[in-house]
Amino acid sequence: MMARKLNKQSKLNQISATGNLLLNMLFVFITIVCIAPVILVLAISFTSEEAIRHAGYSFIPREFSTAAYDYVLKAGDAIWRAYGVSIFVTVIGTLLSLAVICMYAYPLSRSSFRARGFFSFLAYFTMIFGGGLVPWIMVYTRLFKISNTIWILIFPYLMNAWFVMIMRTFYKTTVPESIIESARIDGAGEFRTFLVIVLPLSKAGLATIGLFCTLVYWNDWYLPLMFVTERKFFNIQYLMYQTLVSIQYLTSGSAQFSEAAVVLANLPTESARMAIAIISIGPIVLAYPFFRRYFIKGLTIGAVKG
Amino acid sequence: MSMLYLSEPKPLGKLKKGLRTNGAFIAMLLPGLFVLLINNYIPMFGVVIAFKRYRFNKDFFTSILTSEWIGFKNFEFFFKTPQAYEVTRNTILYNFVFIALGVVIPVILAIALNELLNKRLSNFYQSIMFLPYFLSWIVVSYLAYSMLSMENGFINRNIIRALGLESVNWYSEPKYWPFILTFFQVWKYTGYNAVVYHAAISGIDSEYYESAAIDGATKWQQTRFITIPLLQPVIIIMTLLAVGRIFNADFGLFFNVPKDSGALYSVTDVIDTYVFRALRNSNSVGMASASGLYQAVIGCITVFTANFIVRKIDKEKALF
Amino acid sequence: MKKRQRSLSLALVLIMSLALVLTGCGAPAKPAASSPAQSSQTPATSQPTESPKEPVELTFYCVGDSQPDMQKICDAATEYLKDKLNVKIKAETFGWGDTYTPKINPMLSSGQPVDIVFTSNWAANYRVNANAGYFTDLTPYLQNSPIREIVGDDFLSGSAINGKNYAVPCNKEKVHNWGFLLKQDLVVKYNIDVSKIKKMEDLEPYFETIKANEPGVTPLLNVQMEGPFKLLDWDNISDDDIPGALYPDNRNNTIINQFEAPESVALYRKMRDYYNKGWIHPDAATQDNFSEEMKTGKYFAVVQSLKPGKDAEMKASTNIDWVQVDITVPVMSNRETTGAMLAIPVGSEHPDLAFKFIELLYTDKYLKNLFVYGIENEHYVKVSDNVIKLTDNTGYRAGNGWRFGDQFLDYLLENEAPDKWEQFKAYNAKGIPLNSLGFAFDATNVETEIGALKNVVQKYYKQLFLGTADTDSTLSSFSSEMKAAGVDDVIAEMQKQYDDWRKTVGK
Repeated sequence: MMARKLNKQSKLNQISATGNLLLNMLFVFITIVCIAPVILVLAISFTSEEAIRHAGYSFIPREFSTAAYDYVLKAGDAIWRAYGVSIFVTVIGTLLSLAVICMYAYPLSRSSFRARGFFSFLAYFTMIFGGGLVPWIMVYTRLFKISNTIWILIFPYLMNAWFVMIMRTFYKTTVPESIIESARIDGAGEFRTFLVIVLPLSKAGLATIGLFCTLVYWNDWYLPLMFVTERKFFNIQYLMYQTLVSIQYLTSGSAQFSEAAVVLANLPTESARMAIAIISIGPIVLAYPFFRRYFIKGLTIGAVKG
Repeated sequence: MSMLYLSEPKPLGKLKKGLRTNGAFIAMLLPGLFVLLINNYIPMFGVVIAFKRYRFNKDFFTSILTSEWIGFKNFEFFFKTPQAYEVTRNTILYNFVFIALGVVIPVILAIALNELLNKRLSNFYQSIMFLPYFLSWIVVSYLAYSMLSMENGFINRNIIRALGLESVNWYSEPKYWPFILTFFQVWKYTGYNAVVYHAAISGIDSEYYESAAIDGATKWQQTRFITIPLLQPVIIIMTLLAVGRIFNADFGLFFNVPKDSGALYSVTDVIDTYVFRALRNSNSVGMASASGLYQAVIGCITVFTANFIVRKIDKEKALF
Repeated sequence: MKKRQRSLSLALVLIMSLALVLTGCGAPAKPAASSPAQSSQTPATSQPTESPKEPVELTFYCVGDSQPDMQKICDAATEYLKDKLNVKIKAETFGWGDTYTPKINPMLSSGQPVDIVFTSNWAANYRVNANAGYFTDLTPYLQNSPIREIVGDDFLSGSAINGKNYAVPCNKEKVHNWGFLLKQDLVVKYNIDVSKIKKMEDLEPYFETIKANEPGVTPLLNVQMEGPFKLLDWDNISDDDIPGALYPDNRNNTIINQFEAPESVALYRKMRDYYNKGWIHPDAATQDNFSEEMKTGKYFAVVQSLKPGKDAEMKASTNIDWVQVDITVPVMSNRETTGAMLAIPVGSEHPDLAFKFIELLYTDKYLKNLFVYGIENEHYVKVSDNVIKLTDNTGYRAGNGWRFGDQFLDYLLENEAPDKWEQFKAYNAKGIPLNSLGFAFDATNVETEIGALKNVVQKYYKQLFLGTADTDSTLSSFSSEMKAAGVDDVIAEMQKQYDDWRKTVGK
């Protein structure tokens, strides 16, 4: 009864069919703008080098060719390795940073923790002020020596003050103090309360921060740029960055390639670059639907209400 | 600081409990504190390099301590070059434009998304609009290049030349870049922001609109008098936070998309890229540190100011 | 619930094993994996009881194209040096010019523990970095080193800064001149008489023909600083991107700003014209890998620093046949003394071993050729004692033996003149020594100005050198920014030091 009434009323408040059509047209246009550049790169990656030379980059491959992907697959070692590095760093990095961030944010959300202001400030201050590039590099190369190891791609991003803030707000709004209080009366320690009660209630927040962390790690090229010289620790983004300068980076370390006499002039250099871009986008786009369910909820509570 | 609180006179049992609780809290903070210490606080000692003639010597701390003091000489030369003004101007102007467009376009789109009759379509649009947010700036630079390349670029080959016009050498013509950079920034972040604002709008109680509709309010009036006022706090906070970071440019955008083309520096160089290049190309650590410190200090001032204003508006929303 | 737990633990196991693969470098090689050849050599297949001292790792970074088989070369070097130095070699190359410099500079300033780096006046800023104290003083090492005799005192003192050597110059040709390498197939096809080409303008008709008849071929390769600007051959006082130079013909001793000299301006205009005619690649402004562009075979003329047999030498790294056309007069300048050097960064933890390794690059024919041509019977085969033929295996095509050590140790390629090294000596004798030979500018007093100037030059030079933007407007803002960055002070300082130096050496 009530529902029907509401339904009727909201119908009353609906926009007209013409208005709806116009809005839909606007959104179709926007989605095209959003996706067109990606489609272009996809199309180039499937165009033969000859066709690119004659007609330039275009949305419809004049001459369809999978030569770029053949080349990339054959030159594989470097790419798959970089892919492996990216996956490892993203998975481990996301798990570790989720742990670090969630644990740091929790005490800050508790009003019974008196020093929370101080520790919040300690985190936020790093968002505002930094020592600069040189000292930062020096710390990782001379003091806490992890440059040129896999850990340099993970460690610097473990903490993020902005995510801590989102998570703190999330705890505050979704975990009622009364539940924590009753757990305490039942004799549960803080760790137990945190693990058994707070975390399960914060799934949406975890998913949101998890997605952010995944993006940070997967899309990172800055750390390898600063710290990595050994090819075995190149991640996929950095390999792409290098490929812009030299397509030969792809073949580095490739067994198949050293045996076949390949002259650079015959390689599908233009389309191969685009093929790698497409390959690099893959996993992150696939990961999105997985996170989507919680993501919008988490974002709303954490960022907006925050 | 927590120790300070603990030493306050309290009944013994309460103190014990407080110690246990706070102990657990401190333990939870430890991993994060360790990362902050290594990644942020130890490097902060490095700011003194800006006042020194930097020389590497044995290790991190020794180098900083033993380098010769030269006062403000590094700053003097940074400010002497016209680039100091240029990069500061670019950083601030771009950020202002980005902040403005980052509110206006997404809010409009969010309101529009909310009005669509078909919710599945609305979901579909949101998913697609969100896609650019997932791409790294490296990928975006590939996308930009496929559009703008002089030899093969889509715009030159298939639009401009098809129309019989002269090709444009995009990567050498500074006049287009304020628009190109703005386009890609908006392109990458609009979807994300629209989803955030849309989520906020869907949180507004629908009864407001219904009663307004019964009273005969038009869509425009509803938006004007219900949606916008209710979104206002969110918008203000988000904007102020962004204003606080107005001296920090999006390094990935300004470094990757213009492909480091010197011809474009006058409009694409921001403080972050300048510092980076000063260090990498000319190895002038002094200049890099000086310009970096300059950015950090004025950035710090704006953040505190912005935070102060946020505090005035809503104490809960303040950063600290 | 159970099932989920199991799949979770499975995922963890997978991740951990991936971690092992990725961090596998630390793990000792399994005995089973050691090559059979090796085990047959040493009778004791069981692990030796007396554990030999763990080899020290030496890192060696050089300019050059990335080579797929670099790891194999490192392994071979490590194996070869086992008894000599007991070091594990970790070598890596980074692209020419701009890719190498930005990678190396932060390593130096942050004191990363790198043992050997390539440095020069055109990559990784030898003088700037040496003055900043990033390189170990090698003077004491050189005192009794065979390098002293191989390279010669003139070269060593020419590259010294205030009497101290912070890097070891490579032993190669001691003079230089500039000219073109032309793609041989096109020279043949269009019947070009290279003996008639005396200056760049003589090539213009061919540029035009090629532009018209060879789609996909750009007449002139012009990337970053590698282009016709080099033909002006400025005798630069400091690095290539720092204003301050003398004319390359000893006409006077006045230091000028080479970027604003009338000759340079005329060249900028010409480049603008070439660019508009399509003789320079339309995307030149964003190209940043000279050597890779060269290898694509899509260019007709390439400006190069020449020496006898450069065309044949370049076949090794490009796999393309070239014809060499000399344009400028050979001169002996500071460009050679600091043109290719190896330095030991102060961050190095094993400077003694690093120096011994450098020394071997001057004295050990096997080691030197390993890094130049790769592994025998894999990347090349011997034709005779000193002549080799490259195989089809492109896994290691480094070439460019002038980058380190003693180039006179290098094998000759089949297509190279058998008397290459004699020609080198004749060529060396032909060069005119420039007035500034042996002068080393000390940038300490104007360090910051130089930093600022480098930024300005980086901002403008491409538009002018490559002709991608209007000459006059670019030049006027270039000039005013250089002025603001203190170009006059820098040149005055250079002039002062140069005059003082001339007085002391009596030139």
